[in-house]
Amino acid sequence: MQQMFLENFALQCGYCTPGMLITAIELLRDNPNPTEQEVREAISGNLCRCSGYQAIVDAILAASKELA
Amino acid sequence: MSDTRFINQRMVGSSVIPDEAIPLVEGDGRFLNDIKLPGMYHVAFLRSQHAHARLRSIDAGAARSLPGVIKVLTGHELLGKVDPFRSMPNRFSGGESIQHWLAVEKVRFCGEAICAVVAEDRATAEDAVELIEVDYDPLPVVTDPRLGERDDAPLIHDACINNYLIKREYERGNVDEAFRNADLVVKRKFRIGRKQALCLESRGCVAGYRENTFTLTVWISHQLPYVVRHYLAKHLRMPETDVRVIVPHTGGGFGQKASIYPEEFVCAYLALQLRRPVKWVEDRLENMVASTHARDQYLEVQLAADKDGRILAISSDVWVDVGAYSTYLWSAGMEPLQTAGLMPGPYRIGAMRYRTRGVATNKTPVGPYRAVGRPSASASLELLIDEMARKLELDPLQVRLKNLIPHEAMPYRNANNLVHDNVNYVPCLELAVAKADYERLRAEQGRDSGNGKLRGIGLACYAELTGLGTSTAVGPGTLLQPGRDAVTLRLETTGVLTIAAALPSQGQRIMTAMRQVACDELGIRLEDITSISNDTATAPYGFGTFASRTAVFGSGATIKAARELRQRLLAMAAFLLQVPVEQLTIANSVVQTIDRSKSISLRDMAEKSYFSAKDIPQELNQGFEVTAFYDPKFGSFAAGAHIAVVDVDPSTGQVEILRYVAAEDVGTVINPAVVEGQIIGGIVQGIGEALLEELVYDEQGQPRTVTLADYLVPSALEIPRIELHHANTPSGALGGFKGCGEGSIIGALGSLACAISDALSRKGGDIHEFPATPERVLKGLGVLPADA
Repeated sequence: MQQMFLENFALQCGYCTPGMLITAIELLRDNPNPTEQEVREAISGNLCRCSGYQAIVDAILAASKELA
Repeated sequence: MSDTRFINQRMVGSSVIPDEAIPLVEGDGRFLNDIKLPGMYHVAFLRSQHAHARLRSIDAGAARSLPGVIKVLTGHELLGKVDPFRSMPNRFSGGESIQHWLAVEKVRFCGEAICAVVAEDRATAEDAVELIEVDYDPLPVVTDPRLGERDDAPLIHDACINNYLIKREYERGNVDEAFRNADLVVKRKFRIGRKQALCLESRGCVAGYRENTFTLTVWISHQLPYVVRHYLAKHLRMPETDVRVIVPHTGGGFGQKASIYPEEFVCAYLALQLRRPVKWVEDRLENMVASTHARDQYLEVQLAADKDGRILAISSDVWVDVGAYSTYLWSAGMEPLQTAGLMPGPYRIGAMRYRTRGVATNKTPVGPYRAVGRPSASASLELLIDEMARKLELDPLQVRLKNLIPHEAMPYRNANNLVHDNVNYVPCLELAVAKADYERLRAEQGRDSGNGKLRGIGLACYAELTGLGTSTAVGPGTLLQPGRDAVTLRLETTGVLTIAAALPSQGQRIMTAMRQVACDELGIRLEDITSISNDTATAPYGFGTFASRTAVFGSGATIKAARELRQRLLAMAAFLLQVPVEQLTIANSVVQTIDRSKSISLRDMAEKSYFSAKDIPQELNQGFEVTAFYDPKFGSFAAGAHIAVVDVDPSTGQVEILRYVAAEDVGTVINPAVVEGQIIGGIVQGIGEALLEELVYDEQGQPRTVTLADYLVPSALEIPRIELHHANTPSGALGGFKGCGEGSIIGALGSLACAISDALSRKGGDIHEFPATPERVLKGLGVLPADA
């Protein structure tokens, strides 16, 4: 997941990153193949002020494929 | 771990994965609050409960006797020892505001710091704050700039007549004639609420005494380390060389961390006085009232057009609620002067007039925030253009194409006296239109979807002046003209190149960008380049990161320094290899002859230069360390065209964004993935500005939005997938770069405002106030009664 965040440029200031990472890992544990909407719902309790979420969503989707 | 996602011949233009992000993704980020020094005390502030009041008395007796409390500092103790913040001179100043670091005699906004408590730990400091008794004598408040400028309004500063901190009138071209001769005149009101940057990491500092050789060392969550050092020294009346400023990892800036605030300066004073390190970290409640706000404007705008939809002139009246003090360093002129002055944007406008004021009120000061002033300027003009198109029964797209500054007219001096050159306004719009399939969107809009929702389409085109050099002040009338920014390149004895600059990144990956630029200029492998930044003890002079300037300045200085360093490397290599300079190139960190018969690595050269200096003529061994300053002189216009498609639910007032298409011209792109992150992040903050984010005050000047349950920022669910496209053209700056950090937020407010207005117009409604909350949308539809 960390690698996918890095490769997908899913962090800017990095302040929200630890929270996003653990939320994403928890999501994939429960749901290894989430849709984009499910990813957005899963991280909707975590704010990010830099990325606009798109790269974070992409990183989590990429990780779900990588870990499948 | 350095790697590339796309391999290019050149590093500039490649999405190089940034090494600087690795610690952040591996949990090793070191933010301000991670810093702990031995013997460190903690600071908490007592803040005003009143928006406007005289301070009759402060009784800190109980606080002082609480075990663990070291000191309670009041504003009176600071008088005569430090210099308060006087508003920066500006050509258009109304009157002067004086902001004491801790309030003296009077408080002027809820949240203004009155006392600082130093204690063994933060909890004790906060407990002691609760024990301080303040006797307030409440004064009448000003909470609306249009009332605040009246002759009978209470004065917030004695020197500010009519509460004007800033006032400017401007006219160019024959505006009256244009309006007289116009086939159509459109008038609108426009309101944008108060918001804030909402950095996830709030402000904070650690001030240390006699760390290393410096009397005062300040770690601070900030965008401008050298500027902080300058003003610390000035206001604490000590030599600048006794002060060191270090910026650790920073959890967001967006302009909010580009101003000088009292709290950090109080901490510096306390560290010097107590001879102990002190720490203060703003909690969220403080952050909502003590860090600068933004926007909060009322506009009345008019446009004169001919029957073909050509804009003849614009005229605007702008009132900005700038809060209680002129924000230190930038003045209160940021929003008022930029909104009015930059209103023409990318459109050819021959005549313009404006009257703009920054009116002091009893609220938190307004300071710089991403794309100061421009979103409301752009959105109000775009709404005027749409209304003009509706009345003339022209397509909003065709009207825009008719009025955008075309390539063949460039360089073009607009009515606001700014010159547009090397910028793709029309191509951006054409690209966005093609990618969005605009014709089909309009056709779909005409058909009834059957779900009862109102479909709206909004277009917005903007111009964004970036990378401002010395010829263009950061804001009209201000004395601040940054343009002395340096980068030092140093080839270390192991052949590693160090780039040093005081240009902090809050996620913009500035150092990665400069490594990419240096790599191309010098032929050094990316993995052989490292960087240091953000520390006034190790980095050369620079203003810091703001105004979409850093990539332009940092890269320009890197190119200049690299060219000089390259000369030195080649000259020495020519001597060592005994070949003419012209036969040498540098690639992959090796100097070699074009025929590859002879070569020497940069590592060997660096070692020889250092350890075997006697073997090399002195004039060829000047040291592999070069500092270069770069001033782009003029700014470069970046551009964008955004198309938003929304569905408005007329029963709930809810706005749903169905599609968001953006085409941008941000000049030569250094790292595409980083740039896309900047642009998309800006759009999403703009979506927040258009739909969600508002700081609300009541009539008594009490803030009603002081938690994240009240102040809504976008989550992943409100945001559609942003479709981003590029129509870049190089700027005139070294390397062809433009800034890209701010511009996109402009297009978001404009395109969404137009889309919502377009949707409401299908039921005869309209909207003039933003953010477009469900309540305002329903008022716009006449479902709820409009405000009186």
